[in-house]
Amino acid sequence: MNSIVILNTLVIIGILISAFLTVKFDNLLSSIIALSITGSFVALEFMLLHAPDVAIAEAAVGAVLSPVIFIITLKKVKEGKEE
Amino acid sequence: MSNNRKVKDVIVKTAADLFTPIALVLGFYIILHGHLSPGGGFQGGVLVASAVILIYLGYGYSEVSKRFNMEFIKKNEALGAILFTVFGLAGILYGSVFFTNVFVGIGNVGDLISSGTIMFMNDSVGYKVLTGVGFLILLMIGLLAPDNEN
Amino acid sequence: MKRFAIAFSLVVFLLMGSYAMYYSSTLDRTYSGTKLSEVLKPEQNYDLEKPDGVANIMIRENLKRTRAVNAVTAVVFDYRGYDTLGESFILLTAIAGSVVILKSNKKGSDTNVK
Repeated sequence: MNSIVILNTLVIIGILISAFLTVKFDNLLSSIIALSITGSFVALEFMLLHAPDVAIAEAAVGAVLSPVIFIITLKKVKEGKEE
Repeated sequence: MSNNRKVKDVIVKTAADLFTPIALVLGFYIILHGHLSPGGGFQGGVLVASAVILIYLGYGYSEVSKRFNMEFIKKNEALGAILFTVFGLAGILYGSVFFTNVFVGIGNVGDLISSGTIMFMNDSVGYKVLTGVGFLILLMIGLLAPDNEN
Repeated sequence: MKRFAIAFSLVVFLLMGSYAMYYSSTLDRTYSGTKLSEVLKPEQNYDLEKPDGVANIMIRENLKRTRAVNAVTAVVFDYRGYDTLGESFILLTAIAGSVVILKSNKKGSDTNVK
């Protein structure tokens, strides 16, 4: 068994677990953090598949930008609910 | 409790001070070397724009709104789009079709200034994405500002 | 005067665009000045039976034609320039739409307070 194959399998298992947790969590903030972890694992998998262009884009957009926008939206929605 | 809050503030501010130059330098490197190394305009632009988030986390909205001029950034995004179209139109001025690579003979393979209009198009798209995504983040952050209310 | 200038520039753009469309439809299909049939001439180099004949050109003759080391950027900005143009204008439109929504929301809350 090749070491690359083992690393690929571990990363894919990480993608599956974090994607499952994204759907499973009741707290929305925890769900967003799990989505960010999913983005990081997907970027690592792209790196293992020799696609560094897509890996950089995925790491910037999927792991940083979209969770920040989701968190800002979540905070804004909660503010409106309290008033 | 207030003491604990202060320690957290110092930690976040130090991390922002440390990581903002790294994000800026890596983003500009990826934009400028888009035709030589992995990456391109879009990836580098998003990386540079994420530095705005780091500055906001470290120093709050008052500092961010003092440093960045939103009208100027919005106009510069349109400037980036116009530059990209002008480099596409250079093919027509050269006497060929739209999006022809014009100055392809300049420079050797692997130089920074080589590969004709690919490099200039890459830079203009990077500038456009940098200003556009940065403006989007500034707009979203402005919704959370406490002094906007009342 | 302003409306006349807008109408005049639109008419000029329409005429020039229609002439450019007509003129480019009469040209041969070329890439960087050489005809596409000339590019595909040494047939032993390319597997023309498979549908990826143009992909072979992009990969094997990339350095000679564009001098860009990163082949992905060469494809995105040179061979598929129209795609990138549309993509970047999609981003411009999305940001303009979010500006309209968020700015109007803020102004409405201000008038409500007053």
